[in-house]
Amino acid sequence: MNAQAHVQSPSPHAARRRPGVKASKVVMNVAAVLIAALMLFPILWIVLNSFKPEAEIFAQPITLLPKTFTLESYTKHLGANDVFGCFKNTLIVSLGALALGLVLGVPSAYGLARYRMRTAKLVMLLFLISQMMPASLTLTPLYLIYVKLNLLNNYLGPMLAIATISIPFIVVTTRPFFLSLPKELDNAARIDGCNAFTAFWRIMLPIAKPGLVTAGVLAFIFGWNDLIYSITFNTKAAFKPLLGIVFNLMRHEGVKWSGVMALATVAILPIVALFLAMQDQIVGGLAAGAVKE
Amino acid sequence: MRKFFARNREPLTGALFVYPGLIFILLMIGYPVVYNFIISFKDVDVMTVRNATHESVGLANYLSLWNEGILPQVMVQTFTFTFWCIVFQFAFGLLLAVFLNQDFKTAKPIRGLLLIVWVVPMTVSALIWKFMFQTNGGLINVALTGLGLANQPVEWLINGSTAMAALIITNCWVGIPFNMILLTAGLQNIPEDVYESASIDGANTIQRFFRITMPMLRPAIMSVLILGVIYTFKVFDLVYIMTSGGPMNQTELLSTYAYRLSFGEYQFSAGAAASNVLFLCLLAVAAIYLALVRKDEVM
Repeated sequence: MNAQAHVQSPSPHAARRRPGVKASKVVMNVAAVLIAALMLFPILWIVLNSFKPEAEIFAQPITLLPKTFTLESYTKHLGANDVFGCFKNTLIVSLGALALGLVLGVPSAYGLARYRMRTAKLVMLLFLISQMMPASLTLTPLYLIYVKLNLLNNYLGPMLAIATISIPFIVVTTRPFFLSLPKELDNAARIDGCNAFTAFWRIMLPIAKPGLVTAGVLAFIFGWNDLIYSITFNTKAAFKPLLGIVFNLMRHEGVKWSGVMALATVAILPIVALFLAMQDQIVGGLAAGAVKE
Repeated sequence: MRKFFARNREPLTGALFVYPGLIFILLMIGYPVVYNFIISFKDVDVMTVRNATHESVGLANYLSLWNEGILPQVMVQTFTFTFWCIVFQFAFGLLLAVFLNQDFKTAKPIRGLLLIVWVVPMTVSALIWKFMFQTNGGLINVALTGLGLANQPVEWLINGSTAMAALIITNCWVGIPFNMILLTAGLQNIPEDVYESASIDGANTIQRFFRITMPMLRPAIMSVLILGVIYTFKVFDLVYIMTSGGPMNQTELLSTYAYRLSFGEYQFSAGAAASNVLFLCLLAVAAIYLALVRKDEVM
């Protein structure tokens, strides 16, 4: 570690005093790029393999870049597995869960931040605990409840279950945002003739938009990444999510790796793109939600 | 009545905002947790699932998992998995957080890029590493034998202990960036002038790290560790896809065991009992976390 270690923005003056600083910066940049390359390589590895012919995937010696570039894995497995239909299923479930999360989570966060309530601490506690509940705990009871309510093989099943993750997440991550908005803003809106709800809808929500978008994007990603709720509650092919096909291809005795690579690439492409587009806000939002400010 | 509304206007309006979300959570998580408790003391399996009433069997489900099932072994494996995951992901996460908190050009963009690993679905992470841990032609064995670190390919997912190691490595890969981001937030909350005055007093880098950074990072470290335990303890998809608990149950964790009992063998009561054991362990950890959080006045 360098002596400059903790000086966030060293003045040029300070840099001149220490001749080794410039060289060590180069070393740090190189090291950081290497670390990133190493950490991200596994993801790149399946993308690269998705463009190899089946025989080349396990050929010796191993090839880093595809020797023969081919779209065979895609053409063969995408059509055969109704990828479009599964893509649609994933989208419906994750957007539905997101909508539920926003409609129920954001007002909760706002209420907890803006109003003095005796139960606020207890409510916050319940949200925090519910965020920690494992899926495997609620799966069995939810399944049995869904049997009774006839909710198996229905988009609502996984949607409602995923919302139990996104609601607490949205509450925990957006509440600090509402806390930071001045109370006078709400008071001013009230004087201008808004009631508590129109003030929330017309004034507070638009101001809080950046924070809401971050939480919303992450909540959408939770839905997109769900496998277990969807495949447990919906066993009919018509409801299979994108990750469900990947999972099915993995389960066969001889794993069809070429298909797995191609479909996994298709499944992660949208969220990685979404993440890259929103990167700065997401990193900030995550930290705000998980660690005390 | 009217007076009551007038006097409690503020908490009542607040309740209208807060309670719909809370009620949903209580119905979808609170009720299942209670229901889970109830069925774990009854006899619900594939034959009786649609019956109106179920026979009470007391502690029989728990006792048979303990005596005839593999519950003790699964608990030990869950603790082992969690322990090593936390050790490695925390150590590397902290190293990365401190390193990428230095002032150089690529630090911030790389911090963001690393989080891609966390965004990728667990299903895909699991298949990526299952692919790389293949005995013949898997990238890891190719690298190990190529570098002369192994004479012959390691049968990673075929032996119990190496399969557990493979799961720990994979889970750490996912956990490291997440730990890094949370610890970075903690690091950035340490005021700059503390370091400046320490420098003036002649403290060197190592002294500053152990005397200033670590103590001031303590609250962040505590919440990262405890959240880490909670999230690691309930890992499911990863194990389900990479090993399905095998070989010979040697990578079965409480979460996958509960799932197998309920949805592989359709012994819903046994599954509920196994997941209750998981729940009680988590509750203990959560209680510690909430006690600490309360002390720090987060809420």
